[in-house]
Amino acid sequence: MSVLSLLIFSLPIMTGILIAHLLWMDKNNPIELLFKLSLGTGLGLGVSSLLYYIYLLIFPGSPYFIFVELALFSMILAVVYFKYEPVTYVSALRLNMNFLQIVILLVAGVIVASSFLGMVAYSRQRAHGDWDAWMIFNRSARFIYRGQETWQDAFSKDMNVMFHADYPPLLALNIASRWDILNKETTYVPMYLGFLFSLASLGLSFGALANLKSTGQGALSLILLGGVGLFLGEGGRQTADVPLAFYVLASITFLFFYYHEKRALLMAFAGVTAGLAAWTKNEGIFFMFASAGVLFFASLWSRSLRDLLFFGAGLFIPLILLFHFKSQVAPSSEFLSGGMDAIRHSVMDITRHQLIFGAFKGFFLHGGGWYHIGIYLILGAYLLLFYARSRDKSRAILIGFAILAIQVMGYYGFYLISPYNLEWHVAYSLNRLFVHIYPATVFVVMAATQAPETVFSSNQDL
Amino acid sequence: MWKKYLQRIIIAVIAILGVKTGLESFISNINSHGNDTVVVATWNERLLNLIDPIPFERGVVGYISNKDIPGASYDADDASGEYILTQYAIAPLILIRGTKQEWNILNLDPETYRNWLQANSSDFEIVNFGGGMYLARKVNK
Repeated sequence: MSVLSLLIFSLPIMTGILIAHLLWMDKNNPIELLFKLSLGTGLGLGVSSLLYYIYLLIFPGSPYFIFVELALFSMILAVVYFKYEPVTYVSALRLNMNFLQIVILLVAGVIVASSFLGMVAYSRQRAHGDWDAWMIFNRSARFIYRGQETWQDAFSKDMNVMFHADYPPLLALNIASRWDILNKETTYVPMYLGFLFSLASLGLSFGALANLKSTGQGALSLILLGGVGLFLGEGGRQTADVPLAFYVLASITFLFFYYHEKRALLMAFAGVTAGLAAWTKNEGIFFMFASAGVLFFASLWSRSLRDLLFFGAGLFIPLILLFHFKSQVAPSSEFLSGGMDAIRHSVMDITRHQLIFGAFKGFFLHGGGWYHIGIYLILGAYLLLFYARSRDKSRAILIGFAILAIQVMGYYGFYLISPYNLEWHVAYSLNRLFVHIYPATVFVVMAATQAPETVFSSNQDL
Repeated sequence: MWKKYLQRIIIAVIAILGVKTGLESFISNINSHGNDTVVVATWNERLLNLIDPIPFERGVVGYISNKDIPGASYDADDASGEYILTQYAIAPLILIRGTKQEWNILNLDPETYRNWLQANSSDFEIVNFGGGMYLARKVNK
């Protein structure tokens, strides 16, 4: 069952890889293929989740979803076939790396392998995931799979508020659809889903930076992602934090490629992945609005709404489905349960501001890094010391930082209006909120700074 | 030039700290012996036996634990954890706090159960599944 549970993901993943391949048919060296594999993994799982939602609305309780996935895969395969251009043996395998790049890549490989094996060991002891997994995502998946025609009970208004029935359903739908195809409920499925999103985040960051900057810079991002306890440790918990971090990273990566290659389709895919972030977790909905808001102001600055329109076009289908889910299926959010008076009272309460600000400051200075020095503080200092002016990336860097900064401000706002005991809520969730933006922050910082190849170059002028 | 040397040192330090953290994470996870898998699986099995007599597979079921009985002692984390695990186990049945439903799960220690029974025995038919878990069917609606 363990191997079959992994193989069952192959159809959506191959569909995603083909979509990524269609976007960059000329990129075929091993690192570029790894990039497409990683991006395609998350894209495919996201598309599969959206598709399963539509399928459940039309054919609830019907066990033929695999044929829908097969049809989509065949269609995209046909498009790839007709657009196929022969790749020479030399270009497919060409990968020139110098000694420094090999060393950094080996170090990154050791870190990623040890952290990943640690995550596997953790998962073996917690096959059902952690508290939030039983409470929200795996519970919803059980309702959908076991409930069949009554799958919407997963998001019932009767459910106690602690089960967060209003949470977007990407993870639960992914799990339930695999169980449905396997015709068996197995803990391997959510476990592998966590592994896939974790590895895809690493591969995406490495591959994108290797494309946009250098192989050494990509490998350094792997060291920063795998070599801190903050990120990879979350992958074994079976919660939506790492999948959300993947889509935040993917959306910002697409923005960078758009400003690099000036192809409108890439901006549309920044919208698709922002939409998938919203389909993953409520914090992703804020990310979607933060991205759209920043792009709106960037459009005003450049006096052209073209970028925003393409972003909106990509966002369209996930947003329509999310609107349907939130308005027709899920109960209202507990954050709005107290009404406007309670929210106004919370916003005006100075002690709440003090508590939240203190927690944010504490995390920034001391959280998630090494020897009690915060990883975000380390990244900030790294940015200052290694900053490299780059004309072709400056706009993407500015937009990337603006989106991430607004996301952090949004988290501050969420806490401010939180209906829970604030001290408990902050202590329980602050780390995980910063996990959502960690891979994207590492990516933008690495995109804005000098690569190891430059730093270790013997050229005195550099 | 000093800046370049500093940058080189910083990259090397990051690499070393990354290796250290990665290996420490691996060793600590290998050496930890959490039994969550067994605990959750056992809870699932108990609850599936308990809900077996319930004649419907979808709908609403009541639930009370020591937390719902005034004066009974309980650990807040355990009470929340058991409530969540119970809902996780009995899905797609929806678990609602209280005993207003026809079918109800009671998760009470012996003394709290005796006290609860004194006040409610005429209203419910009860099956004892052991370990403080009971299935109570409301007979007087």
